[in-house]
Amino acid sequence: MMDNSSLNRRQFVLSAALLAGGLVVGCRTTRGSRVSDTDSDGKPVFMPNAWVHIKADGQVVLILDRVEMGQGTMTAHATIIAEELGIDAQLVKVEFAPPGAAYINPLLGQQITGASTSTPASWQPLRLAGAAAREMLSEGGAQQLGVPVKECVCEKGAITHQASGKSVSFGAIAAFTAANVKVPKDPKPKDFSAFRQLGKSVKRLDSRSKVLGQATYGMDMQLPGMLVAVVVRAPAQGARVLSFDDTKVKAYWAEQQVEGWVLPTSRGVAVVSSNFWLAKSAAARMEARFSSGEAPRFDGDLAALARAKGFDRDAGPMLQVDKIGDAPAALQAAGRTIEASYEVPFLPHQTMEPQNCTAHFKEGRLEIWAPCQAAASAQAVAARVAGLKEEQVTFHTTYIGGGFGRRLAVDYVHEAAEIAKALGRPVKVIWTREDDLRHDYYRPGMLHVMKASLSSQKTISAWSQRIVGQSILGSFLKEIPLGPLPQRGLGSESGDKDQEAQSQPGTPAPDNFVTEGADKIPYDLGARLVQYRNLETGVKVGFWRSVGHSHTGFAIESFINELAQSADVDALQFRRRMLQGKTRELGVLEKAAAMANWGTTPAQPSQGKRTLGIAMHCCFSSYCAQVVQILMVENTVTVEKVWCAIDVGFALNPDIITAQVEGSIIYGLSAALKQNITMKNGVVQQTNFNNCPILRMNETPDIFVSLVGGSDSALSPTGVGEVAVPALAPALCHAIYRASGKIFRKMPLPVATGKLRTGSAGASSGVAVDPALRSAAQAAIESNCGPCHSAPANEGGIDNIDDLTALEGKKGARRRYKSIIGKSMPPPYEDNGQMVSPISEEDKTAIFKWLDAVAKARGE
Amino acid sequence: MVSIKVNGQNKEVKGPSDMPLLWALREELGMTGTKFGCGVSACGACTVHINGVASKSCVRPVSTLADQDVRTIESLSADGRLHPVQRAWLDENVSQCGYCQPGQIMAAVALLNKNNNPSDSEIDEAMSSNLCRCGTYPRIRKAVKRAAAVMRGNNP
Repeated sequence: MMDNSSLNRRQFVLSAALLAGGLVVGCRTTRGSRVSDTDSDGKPVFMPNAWVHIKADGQVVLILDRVEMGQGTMTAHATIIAEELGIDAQLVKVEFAPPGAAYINPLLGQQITGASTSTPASWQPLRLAGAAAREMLSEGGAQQLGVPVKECVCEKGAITHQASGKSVSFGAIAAFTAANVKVPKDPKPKDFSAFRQLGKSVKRLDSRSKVLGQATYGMDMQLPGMLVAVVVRAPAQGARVLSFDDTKVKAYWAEQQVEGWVLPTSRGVAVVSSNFWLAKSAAARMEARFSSGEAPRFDGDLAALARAKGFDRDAGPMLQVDKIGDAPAALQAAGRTIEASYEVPFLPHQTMEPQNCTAHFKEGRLEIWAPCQAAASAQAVAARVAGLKEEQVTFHTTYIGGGFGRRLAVDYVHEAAEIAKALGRPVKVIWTREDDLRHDYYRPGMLHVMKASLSSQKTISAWSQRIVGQSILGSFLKEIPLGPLPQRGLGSESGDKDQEAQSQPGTPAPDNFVTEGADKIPYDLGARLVQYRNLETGVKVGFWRSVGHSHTGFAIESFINELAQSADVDALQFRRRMLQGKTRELGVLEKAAAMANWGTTPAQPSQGKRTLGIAMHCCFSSYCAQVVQILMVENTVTVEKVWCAIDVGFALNPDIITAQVEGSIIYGLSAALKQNITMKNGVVQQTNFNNCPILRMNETPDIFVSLVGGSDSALSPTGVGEVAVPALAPALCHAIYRASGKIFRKMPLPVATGKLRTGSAGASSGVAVDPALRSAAQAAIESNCGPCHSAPANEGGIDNIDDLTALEGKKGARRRYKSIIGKSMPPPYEDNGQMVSPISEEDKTAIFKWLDAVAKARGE
Repeated sequence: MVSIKVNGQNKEVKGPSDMPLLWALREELGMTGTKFGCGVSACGACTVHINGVASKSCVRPVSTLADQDVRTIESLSADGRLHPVQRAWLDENVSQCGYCQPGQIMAAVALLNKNNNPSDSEIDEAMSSNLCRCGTYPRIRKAVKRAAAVMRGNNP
């Protein structure tokens, strides 16, 4: 985990200059940065991390070196500057930074937004830049007014001499200040106790344009004469187009009397026309042959593959991730050990805005617009692809319709650069949702093999954890020039030397993006050994919200709950004993438990059971604990409430933080209950929201968030974008176990998701049908029919599609539904010229089995 | 060529005839407030009103819309003032990435135009075909109720 104190010991360099008739002040972090502050001729170069520009007209501009993808960086960072300058945050104009060494994220060494680092990285530089600007403007204003600076205040965009009331605006003194006032060596940011906007929930700066439909996302780019490209890509992972026949494509365009272009590229065949529909319809008519790719026999089940290869059992070449004492010996000597394995699938990002990129190659320069989290990578890749120097590429970051790590990859930029260079006209590459699901950089599927022993005091005496799965660094960095990313806190102090000693051939390289969360488990586990074994699958993997923590949190916290059960100790009490002295971990745990009245039994319904589950997982220097309340009836789980306590140090905008936690919990529920990437012949089978669903409003629990410390905390703020994701799944599984006795160690969980507020989950239909058949059918109907049929009846919805009991009561249901499911419903779609029904054979079978049982029970 | 009434104005849309309304709006008419999310009416990002009914524009071919009345997100604040639903969205800090929100807002407006005092389950029923990956559902619900109260107040 990141150590907050190191941030405070960083060296900061402040600089100021006259820029376009105004004052620009910058602050750069020197420690940990790879950036030199002199150019190749040894001249000092102005390279701030935080850059504030006070223009001649008084407008304050913040160059935002991070992206805005919903997590609120724009507002948070503008507020920091506004606080120091004494102006309303809403008056700060935010511009997204172009690629440049000036904008490198000092905690990551790259110009990227990720790892929940935006606020922690920018907190000090922005405060210092803002304070420096305030002090300089105050001095400049005082000089202009001919008064001592200590008799002046800086607020509301002006320097005012309090005694006389004389004042001069920022705009009026910006140029004078830049020319005459030296940048302070040691500016004094405001004390926490003086904050007027930080720590309050300042309104988001981007909300208005978003509710008006005026915010420009990458997908919304419009340029005069712009063309649209859809790319026919080989569908299998790592496969390529071998040959293609565009006869029917061209016939379509001729028939439509429009222009079109077919361009083979390194990533597929680009089909280009004047608008998306003409491009997409043409692309559907392309006939092509593809190679079988790099994962032709993998079905997506990483755990099964690991077991088939014996990676779960053999020692093999393992990388040591953490070691204390001698866990294998302790486990050997223990009277009784407990074992469990946990598995998670490959997962998609499913950003609401599919991938896209707009590019224009003109007069030797390439100009690009994209919703991207890694501007410098985008620029570098585009330059390489187009055979240009980076200085010849201008890259613009647009608003982003969801990131979650997907936009760290720049594959869409690669495509657009190649196509734009060939065409010489502005072109927007649009990915369909099918493209987006099929060609993601998935969260890798993983297997955790766990073993532990309990002491006579009912604590853990030894812990062994073997993590098996594909390295992210290995595959992601093959094509994306992010450069070496810093390893986040890999290994314990005592373990480092042992890692060097491990030179077995085939020992995987460290990849803390896969093992994080298991490398510094905060509990006292007695002796511990955590190891990692890489398992290549040929599938493209990448960064997914909370990254390694998304699965280590699930495995560790689920196992902790199982061990508590074995020890016959309450799950909260079990954790307390192992967290002695860990005040921040205990702080969130106790708070979440208190919010949920842990230890009391919730009011029970007439059918089923209502239970609570608990978990805690900390990451990216932030702390999080959750309690989940469910109602479980047969195999249907309704997630009713989630209480979450989070500690992010100083809560600089409590409402934005709360919103991020709510969103993360819902994101975690989608993963726990619904999402699953499967493959056949190397092709990802999921194509759209109907067969890869996410959580809906009517499945969303009431969420209660408490910020431990909050606005009263004196600790520097840490990130919130990801920390509330990992704890959700293990807390949910714990509640399910307590309701049913069923221990689920594999996601997505094999339960049906109950609807809140509309009732009827599990109500009796009077027809004697095996509840397991009903549950399986409900899940299949939900995911295939829900997208269209959860609309109200007068807008195409049908009565009670989610209420199977109503269907069971209808005479002739079997005959009616068997004649339409798979034939006209769900609506077939065109895939490479063929009409394909999107419902899988398994889902159809599940529905038909239930219908047969209903008919039989009704004597039909 | 089809003539469609978009936000009260007659617009000629070229086609092809099977082109969905969504793409006519976004590309022919340059109105990018209505968003593309899935193309199969599964996500609701493309929600507009067709004759007052919340509809998924990504699957409605323009050829079926001759002389029909289409309203988009851009129509809600045409007079320069925010619609009560948009105002409620700001008051409740609903948007995160914001990409799904025009569709959410259009679905909410359609609901409140028919029923300005919806129950929780009526809100769920009307809104659950609009997906949000950022997880703003709890705030959407609060904003719908807030807007409903305002709209009831305006109709004595």
